[in-house]
Amino acid sequence: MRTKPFTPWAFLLPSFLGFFAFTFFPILMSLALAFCSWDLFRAPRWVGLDNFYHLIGFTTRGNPGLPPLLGFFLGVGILCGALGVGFRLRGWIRVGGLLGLTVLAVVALNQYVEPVNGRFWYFVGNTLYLLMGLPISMACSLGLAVLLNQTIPGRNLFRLAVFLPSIVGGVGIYLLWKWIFNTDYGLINNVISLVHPSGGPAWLESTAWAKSALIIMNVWATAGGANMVLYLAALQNVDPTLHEAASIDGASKWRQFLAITWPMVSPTTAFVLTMGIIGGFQGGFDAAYVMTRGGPAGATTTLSYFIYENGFRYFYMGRAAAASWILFLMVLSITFVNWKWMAKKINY
Amino acid sequence: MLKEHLVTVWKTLQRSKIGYLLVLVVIGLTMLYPLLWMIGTAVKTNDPAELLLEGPGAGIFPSDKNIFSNLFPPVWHWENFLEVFRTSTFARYYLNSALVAVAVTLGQLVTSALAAFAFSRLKFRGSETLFFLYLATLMVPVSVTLIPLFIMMSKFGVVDSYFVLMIPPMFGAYGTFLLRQFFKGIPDELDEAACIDGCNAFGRFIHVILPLSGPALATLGIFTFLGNWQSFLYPLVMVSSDRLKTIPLGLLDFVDLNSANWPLLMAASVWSILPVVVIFLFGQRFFVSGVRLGGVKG
Amino acid sequence: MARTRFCWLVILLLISGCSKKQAVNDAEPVVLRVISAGGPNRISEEEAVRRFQAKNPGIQVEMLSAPGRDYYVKALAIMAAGGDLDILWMGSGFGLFSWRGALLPLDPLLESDPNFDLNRYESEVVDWYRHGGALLGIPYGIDLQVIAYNRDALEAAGISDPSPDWTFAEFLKIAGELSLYGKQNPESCSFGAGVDKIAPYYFGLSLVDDTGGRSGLQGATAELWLKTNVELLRSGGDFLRVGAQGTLDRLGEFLQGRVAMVEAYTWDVGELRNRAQFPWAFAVNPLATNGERAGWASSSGFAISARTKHPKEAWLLLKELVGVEMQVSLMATTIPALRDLQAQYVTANDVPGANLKAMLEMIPFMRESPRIPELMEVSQELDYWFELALQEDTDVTEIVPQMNHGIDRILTASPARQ
Repeated sequence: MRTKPFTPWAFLLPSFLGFFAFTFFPILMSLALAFCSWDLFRAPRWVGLDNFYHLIGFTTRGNPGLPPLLGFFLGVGILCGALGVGFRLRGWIRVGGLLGLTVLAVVALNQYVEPVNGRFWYFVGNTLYLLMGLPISMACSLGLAVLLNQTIPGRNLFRLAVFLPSIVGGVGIYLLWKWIFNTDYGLINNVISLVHPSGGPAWLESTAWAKSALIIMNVWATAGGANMVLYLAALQNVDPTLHEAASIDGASKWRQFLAITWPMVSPTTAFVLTMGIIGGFQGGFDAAYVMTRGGPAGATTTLSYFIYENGFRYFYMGRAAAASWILFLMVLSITFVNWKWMAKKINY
Repeated sequence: MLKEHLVTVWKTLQRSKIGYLLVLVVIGLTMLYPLLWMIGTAVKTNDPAELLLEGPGAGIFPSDKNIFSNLFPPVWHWENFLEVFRTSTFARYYLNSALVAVAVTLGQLVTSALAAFAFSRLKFRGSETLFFLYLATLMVPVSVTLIPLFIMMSKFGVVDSYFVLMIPPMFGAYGTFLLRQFFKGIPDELDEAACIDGCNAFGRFIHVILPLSGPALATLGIFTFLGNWQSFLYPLVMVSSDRLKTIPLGLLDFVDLNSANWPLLMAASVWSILPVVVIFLFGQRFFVSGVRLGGVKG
Repeated sequence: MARTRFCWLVILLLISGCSKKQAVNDAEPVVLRVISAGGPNRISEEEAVRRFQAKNPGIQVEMLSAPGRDYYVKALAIMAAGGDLDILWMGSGFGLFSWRGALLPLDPLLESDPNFDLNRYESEVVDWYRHGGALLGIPYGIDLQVIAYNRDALEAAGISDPSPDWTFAEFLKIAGELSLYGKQNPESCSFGAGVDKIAPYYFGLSLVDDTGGRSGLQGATAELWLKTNVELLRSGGDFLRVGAQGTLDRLGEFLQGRVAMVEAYTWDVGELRNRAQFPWAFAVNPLATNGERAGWASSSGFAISARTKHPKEAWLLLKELVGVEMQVSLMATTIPALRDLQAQYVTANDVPGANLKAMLEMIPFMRESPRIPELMEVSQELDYWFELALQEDTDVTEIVPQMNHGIDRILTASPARQ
């Protein structure tokens, strides 16, 4: 079909204008901001890599006189070297090699240099820790999908019941969970005290348990949601004759699951995992703000909460922009690795 | 002997699927119990004078910790739900949320549908590159754009206004992506057949594509509406004054003003999720189709 | 392509530029924009505005409110965003504004106005609004903290009312006895006292030292302070953790009779009077371990934005907002800053036996909250280490030096003072 050359742009105009003004331009501006110091009250100042140095820089132990950039590049260089060597390995060894070499590099570096801002790395750790909820939630989603894939009476009712938690969300639900995790009168500890008279942990008031509490909440909120629907769709595409054939051969349900179901849903797993990692890296702000204010002792401060706090409570706009770019680069690299790795593992 | 017996029982259960049913009932109740707990707390009372009459077990700090008998109080204080509106400008927050969510949804639908049509039906130079750019921004964390957006908006003097609540969220790469996937699924022959007398691109969009994509638009609409209803970080940063606050922000103020008055807080929370539940119950088929549409790529 | 993008940018700038220009118009009447924390004070503020408008019919007033604990951050954000604000409610966050040059010096306005006598205001509190010699705000109320106790609970446990010169050690002893009694008698209060944290001033310490450039939590006293907190607040201790960090409400727990003693603030008076189902009373803060009495203090007041276009009109409204009528109408939430009204404060809030004059007796011992631009970061740092100390497996002795190091680093490396 013939169209005039400007027709596509006429269609694109509203969307593109908004996209450019509210997404593309801010991204560039944020990159520039990352190299400035600005509190919005006085004029912005160009500070070069200073912001990055204060976030992810290193200094030599006991000698803060080391040129800042040297420490920074030393750390980044050694880490990149470790990753590079790790990538040269093949197969399963690669994963172990990558992890092992990274840990080795960190341990070795730790002898000579220390991070300028140790707490930033702690917050990175928090973000990664909270990501551990993702596999748990995915396993629950798959389990629920397998259960709901059976023909049983009232199946739709159950589907509604498990889907509802994923759709109600926001501040109201975080408030509810704050109340549920109350040490003395919360629902969870009431249940625990039924089996364990001395009661449960202090959940949101304990550095050891606060992250687990958030993971529990996230599993509740996501297990029956979109991921389960995707798994259900994938399960319905599995040819039932495969299961019948396996049953005749005498394979147990578990064997059938491992040999047939799991490989057949692996594309879905890859998709859900990738999206979950992208989302998880950026997430954690709402819950941290409403339930814990990032505490206790920073135990639930994720990168997004750290960025908000620096930008909109302390008005360190440059530092916040730098942190958000670090977050962006982390998401990019993890997605890239994930995608490379998954491309091989997926069974099409 | 016992083991054999158990195995037979197990086998029977397996065949009759009662086992599945039981497991599902338990899981379903577990998933819904927090929401019941929310309603139960919302109708309790925190007033010392009332508690003297009803006994200490009626409040939110009962002495015995039975989660079933404590679920609902002996006297249901429905007035908590009205109290929410009396103690704060909650009605205003409701109105703001509804206004903003509706405006954003409409805007999102229009811009996304137009752009998706261009990306799926019209050929132009750089189309692939531009679409890739759109997709790539899905990976950019919100916090990257939030700070510059705040600064931009403040330089234009529109921070703390309906403009900033409504306009920037109208443009989303996700909606464009979702609708493009759907439009691609509509066979080209339909366009040709319907436009035998040669209508232009806009005609095709209005007369062919739009009438066929009702479900996709409804899905995107519902998701955008809900996403905006629950949106928190963006309005938190952009809005400071009380009169512009949406429900999530209003709820937070409510927490500060009533500190730990949990019955009242839970009543307010129930109000905040009520529209979501209603929309969900009426539009559940769109939720499932929306998830699948978004997941096609996998 | 690059040119097209540039064009879009220009168009965008033009659109937004136009919309802004229309807003500024000389012919329009003067509009004053006031931001306050709203909440329970809202009604009094609106009344003051109504009185002002009756006297000055030509001037319009627009009230913004940003309630919640983030009031200062929100007000700062509006100012940073270049929003038109004329008058701001002020309190303990004063330093955040004064250091950033966000407030208008009031001395010239004060000198040219014969109708306003600053000497009638509590001078110490007025001084809190000075920065670098300039007066940047005027208080209408004094906020401070005393101890409130449940007289029934003390009587049941056979403890006599605290004497006016009680010490911090006695406070701890009473709390311990009450907790013990509560464990044996379930119908009495379960906890002797509820606090968010035992503040440094009970040990004669302050968060930031007098120069404002260094942490004030130094030495063995600071260690003792933290250790006492840990002992009493870790689970199983004598004190119930209530307030900002937890899910339990300080005043709610007191009113429900679960804790026998709490810190009470000026704004609690109305709530206590209306809701308490038992006799209660105030006591002045116990003498700190160094023998001096001290307590948390702040003030409520108003300031004028440095960017205001109508300083004269703003000054008129400011006078109304800190004037006599305003202070009288807010007596249930704050102590009047006008000295003549302070006697009236006790009679206005009178509850038999509640010892309301303890509030006034604390005035000489007030200790202002630090007026530093890094107040947010420093409090956050303190909370960080404090919470860490409360965890089960933390060695408390290691915390204090690290806490000081953290606070000092914020204060010395602060971009906010450059």
